[in-house]
Parts: sequence; C-alpha cells; structure tokens
Amino acid sequence: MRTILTVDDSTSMRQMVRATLQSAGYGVVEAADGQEALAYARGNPVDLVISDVNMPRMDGITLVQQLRQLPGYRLTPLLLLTTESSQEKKMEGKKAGATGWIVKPFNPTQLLATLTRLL
Amino acid sequence: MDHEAIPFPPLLELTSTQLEVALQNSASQVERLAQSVAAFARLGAEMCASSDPQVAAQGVRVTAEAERAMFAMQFHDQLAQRVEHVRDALGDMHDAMAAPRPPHVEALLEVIRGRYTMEDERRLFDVMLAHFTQAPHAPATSDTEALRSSVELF
Repeated sequence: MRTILTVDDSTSMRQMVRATLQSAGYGVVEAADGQEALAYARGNPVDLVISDVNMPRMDGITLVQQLRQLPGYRLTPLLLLTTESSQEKKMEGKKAGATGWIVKPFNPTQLLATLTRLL
Repeated sequence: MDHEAIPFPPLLELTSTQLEVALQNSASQVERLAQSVAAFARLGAEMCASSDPQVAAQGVRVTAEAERAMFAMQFHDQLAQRVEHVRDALGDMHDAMAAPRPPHVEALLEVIRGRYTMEDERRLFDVMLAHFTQAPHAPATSDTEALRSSVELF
C-alpha cells in the first residue's frame, strides 16, 4: 500500500484529506506542522507528501526545502495544498523543490487524479 | 460625541478576543462534523467495493455526496483563516494605538497586509486602502473565482 504524509495545522482539513486518500486505498500518516512532518520523514519513507503552506513552527515551503535534503526524499512527489494562490508564492514553492501546487478548496476527484499521475 | 473619550485600545482588544472565543468555540464542533463527513466518505468507498451491484451503485451516490460535503467543509477552514487575520489585524491596531511612539501608517498597513494568505484578501485590501498604500486598483475576486480550486504541476 502506498503511504502519503499529509501535513496541515487544521484538524478538519487533515480529516478531509485523509478520507479522500483512504477512499482510494492509500495509507495515510498525519502531521500538524512542518516540524512534526520532518521528524516523521527522517525515520520513515513515504511515497508522497501533501502539505499546507502557512503553519506554525515550520511552514510548508521550508518543509519542502528540508525534505529535499534527505536522501530518501530527493525524488518523492511533494505537493503544496494551500489557500495561497499568488504566483510569487508558487514560484517560492517551485524553487524550494515542490512538485506541484494545489489551491484550496481541493476537489477530491481532482486530487486523486493528480496522485494517480504522480505515483 | 467626544471622540477623545472613545477607548479605542480596549475596544480593539475586546473585539479581537470576541473573535478568538468564537473561533475556539466552533473548532471542536467543526472537527466533529469533519469526522462525520469523513466517515460518510469511507462508507461510500466500502459500498462501491461491494459485489452487490445495487449496493455498489448506492455507494457511487454516497461517495459523490461525500465529496460535495468535503469540498463545502473546506470553506470553514477558509473562514477560520480570514477571521484569524482580522483578529490579528485588530491586535496590530491595538498595539499601534497603545504604543508610546506609534508606527508609521504605511508600516502598520504592511504588517496587516502581510498576514493575508489569500489573493482575494489582498485584492480587497488594495481596493479599499488604495488611498493610503498607492497600490494598483485591482478588482475584488468574484464569488466564482473564490470557489475555484486549481492544480498546477511544476
């Protein structure tokens, strides 16, 4: 089973993402911010990461930068899922090493189609 | 009315606190609602996998309804973020008014605008405060735009 790490400081958003992914048969691991996600990723490889951008302690763009430094995460798809839609921020995400940018609210069918393309 | 007598700093603090209390009070109930919607989605997925064609067909309908509910639920997350930004802006205004040497208005506006994470928040700010910020007069986002989700792969 493919495992996806979902990172968001909003519990309800994590539940929405988890339900979407589990309905398609993915295993899901949750983290409430970038720091928690990074700590998990250091000891546990996952197949894909979906992260919010604006979070306490460590934001999503810093998380992407840090994950790309880890040997097991150089090629892992890293998606940013956020309410932020400015081109400037998107370019920051791309420069950090993100694979893609999804603007909230996400459409569950569209999210699953994106994952199928990437995995 | 004597404007000098209006206690702006405590009123700003009170308004900010009222918003904080409203956010906290709704958070646990919204999490409960999200759990129910998620359970509904899982049930739909299980029904879709059924060998009984009738159950599977019902599962497709349940899944479609659950997806619509999940999409709609995310607007609470947006609402909570916007309320947090308003709460924080009120806190910034309180601090500026209470400071012995208040910051320059442009510095204060920059801090408030910098808190925004949504494009339509920034556009609204630019439209309404164009006189103070000299920002380009951008149109506010339409309801249709606010409902649009997008996926961009790099």
